[in-house]
Amino acid sequence: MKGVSNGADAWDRLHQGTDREGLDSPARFVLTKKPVVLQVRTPVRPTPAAARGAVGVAGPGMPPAQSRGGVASVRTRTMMRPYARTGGRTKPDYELALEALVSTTDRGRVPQAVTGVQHRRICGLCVEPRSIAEIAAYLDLPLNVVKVLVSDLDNAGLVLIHQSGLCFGDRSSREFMDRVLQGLRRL
Amino acid sequence: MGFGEFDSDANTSAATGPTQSAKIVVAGGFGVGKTTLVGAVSEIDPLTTEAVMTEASVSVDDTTATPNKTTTTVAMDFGRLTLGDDLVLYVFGTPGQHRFWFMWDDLAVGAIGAVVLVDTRRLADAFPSIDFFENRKLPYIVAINCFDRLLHHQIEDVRQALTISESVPIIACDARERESAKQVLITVVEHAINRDRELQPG
Repeated sequence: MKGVSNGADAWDRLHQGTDREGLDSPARFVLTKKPVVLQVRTPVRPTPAAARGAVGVAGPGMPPAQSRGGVASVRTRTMMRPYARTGGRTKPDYELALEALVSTTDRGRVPQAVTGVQHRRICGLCVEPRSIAEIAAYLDLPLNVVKVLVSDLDNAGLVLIHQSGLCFGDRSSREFMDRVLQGLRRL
Repeated sequence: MGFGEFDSDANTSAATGPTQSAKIVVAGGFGVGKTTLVGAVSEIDPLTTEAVMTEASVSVDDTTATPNKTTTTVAMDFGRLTLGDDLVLYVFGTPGQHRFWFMWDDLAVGAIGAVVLVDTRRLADAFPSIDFFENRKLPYIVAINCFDRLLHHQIEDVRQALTISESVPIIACDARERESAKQVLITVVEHAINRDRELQPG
């Protein structure tokens, strides 16, 4: 019988859990690449006098101005997670360089052809060719989100992607570097 | 558009403008002037995700040698230079702190070369960047940022202290000045071309 009780103890111990459970929980780690600094917009708070006036108009039975001010300061900003825009996908279908240029095609310029707010913003932005990094900066989206969105648009034929594909020891790459050098000297 | 027939071809193609792009990486320790150098050469205001350094990061980031620095690059910043009708060069500054190492791969892939910006008061800060580019076999040069326009150490002394080979160019620069920053970029591309010739003569 001793053996049995030992076994029960071991079973209990196994199911006690550890002290580290809270520490190791994935929720503790930030999984987005870009550290997001949220700018909290300070709400337009009615001045006490104006608020009191409003209360007066609404009726004498209304709660005092202070509590109404409290309601106004509640943040109304949407806090949509970045990868919700990509349907949860975190990787594009193929690798896109930070400096790869994206330009909107004629099809991409037809407003009805482009669905989705972010897709439309990218098509609008890339009427002039812009790099992946620029799109991310202008639209304030994480780089990987932009890569996924751009690869979607490319698959739909709404944008063109120009990748440089620099490769050392390659003749065309050397000509390319020469052109960069000449361009820099001309500046 | 009077010449409809001739223009039709241009109309079906995508937007006119640059179709080729290159990239140069600017690396170096915290507060060495990467953002300044990018800003000095860029034709647009550098696109950056800068946030004011908080008290929390003051304890994380070493600010003893740069007490006046109040902001730090938390993601990365970059500038743009149009080098011709169809060619654009992007200059990327690496994130200053090592907690952002994961972004370096994205930065190094496809780059022509890199600049390791050095402050001679804190030479050791350059080692992680130099190690990274050596490992990646990415051509790099060392640029000594002369704060106060004074070169505090001889260039060869710096080479010895950093234990880098003779083939790596070391130059002095002033990251605030456009001409000087431009010369840094020219040196990077020249070095990359030379390295390329050594690898594949002819």
